[in-house]
Amino acid sequence: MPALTFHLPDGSTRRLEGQTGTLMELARNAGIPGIVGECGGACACGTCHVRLCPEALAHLGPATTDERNILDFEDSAAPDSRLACQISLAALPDGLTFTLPGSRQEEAT
Amino acid sequence: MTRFPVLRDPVDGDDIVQITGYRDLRAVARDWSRFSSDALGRIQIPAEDQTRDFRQYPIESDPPRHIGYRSLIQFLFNKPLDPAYAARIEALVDDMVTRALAAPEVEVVEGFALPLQSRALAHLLGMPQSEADRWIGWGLHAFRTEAGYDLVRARHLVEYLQSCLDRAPDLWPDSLFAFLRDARIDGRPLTRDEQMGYSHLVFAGGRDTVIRLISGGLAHLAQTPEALARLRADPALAATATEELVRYLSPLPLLGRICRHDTDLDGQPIAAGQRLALCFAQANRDPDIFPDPDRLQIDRRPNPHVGFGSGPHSCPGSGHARLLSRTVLLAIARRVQGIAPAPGENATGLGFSRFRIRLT
Repeated sequence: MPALTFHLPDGSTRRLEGQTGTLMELARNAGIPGIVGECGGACACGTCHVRLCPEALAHLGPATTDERNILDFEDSAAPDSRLACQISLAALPDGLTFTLPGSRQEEAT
Repeated sequence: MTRFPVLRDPVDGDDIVQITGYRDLRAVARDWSRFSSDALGRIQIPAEDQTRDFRQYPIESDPPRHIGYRSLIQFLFNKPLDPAYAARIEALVDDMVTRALAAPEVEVVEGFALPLQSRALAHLLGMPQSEADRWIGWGLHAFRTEAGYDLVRARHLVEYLQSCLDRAPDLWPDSLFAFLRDARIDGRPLTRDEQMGYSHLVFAGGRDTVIRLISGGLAHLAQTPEALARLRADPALAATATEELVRYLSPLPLLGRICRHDTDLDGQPIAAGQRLALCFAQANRDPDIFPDPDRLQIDRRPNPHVGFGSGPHSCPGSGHARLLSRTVLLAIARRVQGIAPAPGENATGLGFSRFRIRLT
């Protein structure tokens, strides 16, 4: 079961383990702040935006075209941004790190 | 030849530049420094500045002030994320589905979606169900009719909201209205106009839109037995079906912005003061983004629709609308074997004002 690390906007970190479902579901169910998953994983809302460490980016690849349709309009999106609802936990290696961007409210400035 | 078609506001005759492409719309929606929401009753189309003399908050403001206005009530719109709140909505929906199954037929707009929306709104606002009974009596929209705005009803809504703010500290201390009476922004209490602006938006923005979403979903299932069969076989489709209904129905078809300074949009000059329409319904059918866009597919995924808008002003009530729709679809998937148009019902498509169904 892969152990994954989340860097939160307040500077703290959380470690989670999971092997089924998506990264969004794992983080949301663990109460990771900033991972809302409001659309339930339909790749429709952008409320599960994470940034990937270089190892995760190498393993998972960059955002798909469908994710980019959401992320292109998020001010805090970067080349290493993905939507966590589109990342399956199956076959994810151990030790990857994900960073939460600031809240949508902060980004609007 | 201009790239952007023009729409005439039926209320004041303004020519409004329409933004219909998906990518154009998302770019304009986030560009608040050029395309502003900072105007009383003028970003709605038709304009509704005759229906009130105060702004709606947080919608009729721009960042950075908008951020404070929106943050102030974020707690309210986060309620649907609370499992205890979701359970209350589930109980409400279960009760309504039980009644619908027992009735010979159900009219989906005023007979199901309107009472559901009103009763759920009472939960969200911390108001008693006796007030929801009053809201149900208002019908589909609090002050809009087929013919335009009804200024008498608009005034009644304003008077009702004033009375709610007056009475809330004594009668409903846990309500949104009581919260607004005590709330502070920038170190000062909210003005009465600001309290009214928040109150008004709740009844203007989340009412007919949610009703259209719920009633349209039920009508689709009645018209499309294979969609119901798929939903029953896989209730998890309630999530993607909800997104697809929001895309396909686009319950709020358009919303405006006002150009702040002379500028240009993709080479076309746009003058200061020009109104623009973000045409969500058309962007949600953009074939560059949505394959086979005119087909309603309840398992469409991904589905990056703009049915809840986009950018800093994206719908604050989207979580509540999603919760209501998903809960209804889940209850149907688990408890309803068949939905069919009631005998004699001949409405087609999803653009109806009444639609009678029979549940089995």
